[in-house]
Amino acid sequence: MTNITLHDMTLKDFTLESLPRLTELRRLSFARQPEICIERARYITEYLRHHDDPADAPEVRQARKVNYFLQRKKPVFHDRNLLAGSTTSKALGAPLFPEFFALTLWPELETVSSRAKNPQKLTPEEARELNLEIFPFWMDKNVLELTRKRIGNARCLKLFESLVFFIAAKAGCISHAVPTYASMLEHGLSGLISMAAEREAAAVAHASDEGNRQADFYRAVQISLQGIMEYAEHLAAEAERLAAAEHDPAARRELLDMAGICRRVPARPAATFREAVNAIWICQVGIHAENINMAMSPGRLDQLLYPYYKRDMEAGRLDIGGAVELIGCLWLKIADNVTMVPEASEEMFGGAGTVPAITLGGVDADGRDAVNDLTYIMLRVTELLRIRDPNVNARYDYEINSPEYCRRVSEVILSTRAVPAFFNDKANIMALTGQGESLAHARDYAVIGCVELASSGRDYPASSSIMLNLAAPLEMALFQGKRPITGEEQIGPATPDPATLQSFEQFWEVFKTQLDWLIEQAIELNEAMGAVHQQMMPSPLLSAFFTGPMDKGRDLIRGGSLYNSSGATHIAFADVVDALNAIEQTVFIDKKYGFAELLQMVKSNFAGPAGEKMRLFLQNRAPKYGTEHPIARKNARNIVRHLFDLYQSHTNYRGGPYRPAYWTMTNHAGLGGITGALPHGRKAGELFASGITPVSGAAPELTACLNAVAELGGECVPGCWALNIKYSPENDMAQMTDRFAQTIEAYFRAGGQQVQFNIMTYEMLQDAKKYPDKYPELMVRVSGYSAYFKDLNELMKEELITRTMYDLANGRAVACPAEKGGE
Amino acid sequence: MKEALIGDIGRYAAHDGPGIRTVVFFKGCPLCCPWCHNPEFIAGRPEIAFYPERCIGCGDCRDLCPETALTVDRIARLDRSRCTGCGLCAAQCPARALEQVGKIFAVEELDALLRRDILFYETSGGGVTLSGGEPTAQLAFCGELLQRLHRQGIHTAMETNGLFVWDDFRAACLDHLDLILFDVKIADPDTHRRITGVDNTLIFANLARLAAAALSSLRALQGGKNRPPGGRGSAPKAPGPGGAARLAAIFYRHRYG
Repeated sequence: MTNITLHDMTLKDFTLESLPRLTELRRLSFARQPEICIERARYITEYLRHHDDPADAPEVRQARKVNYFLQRKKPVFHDRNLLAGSTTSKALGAPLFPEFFALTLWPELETVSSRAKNPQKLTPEEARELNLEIFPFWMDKNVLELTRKRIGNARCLKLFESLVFFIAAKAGCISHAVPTYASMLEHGLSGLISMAAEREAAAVAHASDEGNRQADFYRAVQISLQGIMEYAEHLAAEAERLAAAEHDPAARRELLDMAGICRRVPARPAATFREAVNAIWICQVGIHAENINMAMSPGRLDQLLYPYYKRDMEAGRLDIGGAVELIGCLWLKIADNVTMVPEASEEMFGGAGTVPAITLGGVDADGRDAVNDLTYIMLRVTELLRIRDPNVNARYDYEINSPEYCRRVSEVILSTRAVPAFFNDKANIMALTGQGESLAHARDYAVIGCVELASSGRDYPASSSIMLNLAAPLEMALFQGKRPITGEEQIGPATPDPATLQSFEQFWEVFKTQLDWLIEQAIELNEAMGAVHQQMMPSPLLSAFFTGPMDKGRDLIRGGSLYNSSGATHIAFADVVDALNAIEQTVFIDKKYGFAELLQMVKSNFAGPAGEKMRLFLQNRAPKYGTEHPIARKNARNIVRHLFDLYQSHTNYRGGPYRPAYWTMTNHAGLGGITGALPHGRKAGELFASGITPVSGAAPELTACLNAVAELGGECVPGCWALNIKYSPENDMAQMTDRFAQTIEAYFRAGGQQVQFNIMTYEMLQDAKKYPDKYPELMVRVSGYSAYFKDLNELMKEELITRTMYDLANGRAVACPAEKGGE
Repeated sequence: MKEALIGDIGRYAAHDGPGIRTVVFFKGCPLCCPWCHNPEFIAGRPEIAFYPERCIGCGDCRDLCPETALTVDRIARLDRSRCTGCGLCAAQCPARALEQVGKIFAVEELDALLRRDILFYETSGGGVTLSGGEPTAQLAFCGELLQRLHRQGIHTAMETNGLFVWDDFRAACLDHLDLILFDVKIADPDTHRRITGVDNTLIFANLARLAAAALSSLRALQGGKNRPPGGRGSAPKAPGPGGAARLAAIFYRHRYG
C-alpha cells in the first residue's frame, strides 16, 4: 500500500457539516429545475447558415462549427463552485443537439415546461426561436433524415422506427467514450496545438491525397482546441468582471483565483492540483460543445490527478480538506447538465442522468495496486454527496488490491445504498485482451457510461450503438417470423411452425435464424448511420484527447483510435433464457405440453383457468436462469456464446468488431410493457429483467444466482454487463460490510464482471412510490446508472420495487409483499 | 452408493458456524423437543407440505395420488393418515402449493452441490455445517460426506444433539469435523426424558468424551495454523453462545493436530 498515506481511509472527519460549500452546492443541485439550453443549437445553426463552406473537409467543417460556438458560449458563474466553466448557459441545463433528436421537442415546445413528469423549463422567447429559426433548418439535416436520404425507407430503418425491435443509437449520439487528459495536462492545449501544427506541415509536405486528408484533420484539431482556449479566456474575463463588482472579499478572492487559473489552463501545462482539476473540467465542457452529453466519461481520475495531488500535498500547497472540497466541486460540476427528454422518450429513458463515468482503483498498466489517497478521497466525496452523476465505479483486483479497499468500497455502497458499482479487474481485463488489446492497455481500462469498458483514451467503442430486444426474435421464432405487436406483417424469415419441430435443437436453430436476421438488420443500419456520422459529425476535438488520431492523422469517426469497435447491448436476456428453458423442459423433455398448445396459451395471454394453471406451472416448475439447473445454464451460455461469435464476425465502418453487452438502462421496463406473453409464464406487459439480472423471483438463492451469472463472464462479454442485486439493510453494519465484501470477492473469483446494488426493502420503495415527497433524494441503481427514484416513470418504479431482494443473513430471496392500502 | 434423506439445504447461512456456510438439514431426529426450530425435519421419512394460500384448486394432485390421500373442495385437502410422502403430487403441482420435504441424495450429488459455494467459503472462512434433524441419525453417510469435504479443504461443522453411539461416531465423523456445535437440551435427566422423550445419559457421556478429545487436540494445535486453505478471508472465529436451547458449544479441531 505504497500510495496510501491517509491515517483514516474513511475520512470520516470530513462531513457535509465541515464542508459548507459542498452542502450549499448539493442543496442547489437538488433544488434546481432543469432548463433547456438552446445556446449551442443557436450558434451552430447560425454558423451553418452563414459561414459554412461545404467544400471543406468534414473534420474542418465540424471544427469551425464547434469553434464558432465556443467563441460565443456565455461564460457563467452560477454559484460558489470553485471550478470555472459550465456545460450549458443554465444552472442545470439540458442542451439541444439538433444534429440528433432535438427536433422531437418541436411538438412539445408549449408543454415541455409544464408537463407533469420531469418538466424541463423553456422560455417563450427561446421556444419561438427554436420554432422559427432553428428547427426548420434541421428538418432534413439530422442524422436520421440524412440516413433516410442515403438508404431510403429500408427495412432496417422501419424496424428501428417501430422502436420494438432495436434502437439504432447513432441517431441520438455516439459520445460514450473515455478520453485521456494526461497529454493535455502535461503539454497544455497550446502544446497539443503545436504538435498538430507540426504534423499538419509534415502531411502537407507529403503532397498526397492521404496527406491532404491528414492535414485537414490536424487543422481541424487546432481549430477546435483553439475554441476551448478562447472559452477559457472568456471565463477569466468574466470572473474578473464579477470580482470587480463583488463586495464580499472571500468571494472576490475566489473569482480572482479562478480568473488566474483560466488564464493559465488548459492552454498551458497544469502546475497545481487545482489547475489540473479545472483544466480537465474546461476540456470536458469543450468536448460537450462537439459531442452530445451522453456518457462522455472522464475515466480514471484518481490515477490522472494523483501526481498533481501528491506534489501539492508534499509542497504543503494542499490539504486533505481542500482536496475533498475540490473533488466535491468537480462532482457537482459534472452533474450540471441533463439530457433533453421529450415526453415520448420518458418511457424508455426517463430519469436517467447523462452518466459520465468515473473509474477508481484497480491495477495500473504494470499490474500493480493503483489505489491511492485520491481513490479514498473520491470515495468519500461520493459517499457524502449521494448525487446521480457522475456515475462512480470501483475496480477491484482481488489478488492485488487490499481487502481494506474492498471493504471500504463496500462500506460506501452500504451507506449510500447504491454507489459505487463494483468491477472485477481480472474478468474485465480478460475481456479486453480477448479483443486484441495489449495487457498494459487492458489493465488501464475505465468504465464508459453504464458499464462498458474501454482502455483509457485508446479505445473508441461507440458502446451504445445498438440496443437489441431479444424478445423480438424469440417471438418471431414462435410465430413464424411475425410478432403479436406488429400483427400480420411478415417481419423476419418465415421459419417453420414450432409445432412441427421434433426437438429443442431444431427450435434453437429457428430462434437463431430470427436472431441473426434481426442483428444483421441492426448492423446494416448502424453502418449506414456511421457513414452519415463520418460526413456530418466527425470529432476532431475529442480526437485530440485520444491515442491514435494524432499519430494516424485520422479522426476517431474514421478509425483514428488505437482500438475500434461498436457496442451492442441486449434487452430481455433473462426472460429469453427462461422462455427457452420452459420450452425445452416442458415441451421436448417432459412432453407435458404440446408446442401448439403452449403457443395457443401464449397467444391468449394464458387466459382462463387452464391458462393460469399452465402459466403457474411454467413459472414455478420450469428451469430458471439464476439457478444452477443444467438446462438453464446451458441455454444462458449458448446465447452468450452465439451472440459473441455473431457480433465478432462483423467489422464496422471504422475497421473494428462489434462487441456484445448486457445492460438495459430503463428499456427493459419500457419494452417489457409492450411485449406479449412469453413461454416462461410471463404475462403480456410484465417488465423484463434488467441487464444480465435473473427474472425477479426466479433466483431464490443468492449464491446460486451469483454463480449462474458469474460463469457467463469474461471473453464472451467484452461490452460488460449490469447485474442488479437488492439487499435488505441490516442493523449490524460492521457484520454486514464483512459479508458484503466476502460475497463480492467470491462472485468475482467465479468470473463475475460487474455488480451493482440497491440496499433497500420492498416496503421502503413502495412507500417512496406512494409518497414521493418523503424521499426527495432517494437514489437508486437502474441498469448501469443511478437515478432519483422520484424521477422514474411508474413502470420503472414498479420494476425496482419487484426486483428480487436477498437477505444478507441467509442468502434467500425475500418474497415481495403485496402493496397494502392501494393507490 | 450411500444415500441420505435431506430435508433442506440452506446456502449462504450466517448463524451455523463461522463465515458463509451451506447448512445441510438431515431429515429425521430421535428427539422430539417442543421448541424445535425445524419440526418438519423430525420425522425420518419424506413428507408433503401443503400451502393452502397458493392452491388454485386445479385437482391435478387428486388425479395423481395413488393413495387417494388428496381431495379437492375449492382447494386441495391432504389426508395425512393416507399420505406416504411419495411426492408425485408435489412434482406436478403448478402452484407450488404442495412441496415434498425430504429428498434422497446420493453422497456424490450432495458433495457436488456443496462444492458450488466453495469460493464463498474461502473468502469468508466459512464451510459446510451438517444439521437437521439429527445428522448422526444417518451416520455412515455423514462420515463419507465429511471425508469428501475435508479432502477438498472445506471447513466442516456439525450441529448435533449428542445422541449417538460413540465408537461409530468416532470412526465415521470425528476426524473429519473442524467444529462441533453440541446441543445439550436439558441437564436434568428426568426432565430431559419427559420433554424430549429420550434419556440423556448417553448424551452427557458423549459430551465428556468429546471434551476430552477436543482438549487433547487443542493442546496439539499450533497457533495461527487454523486458517482455511486458499482464500484470504478471516480465520474462523469461535462461535458465540447460541440460542437458548444451546447449553454448550465445543470448539473442536483436529486437522493440524
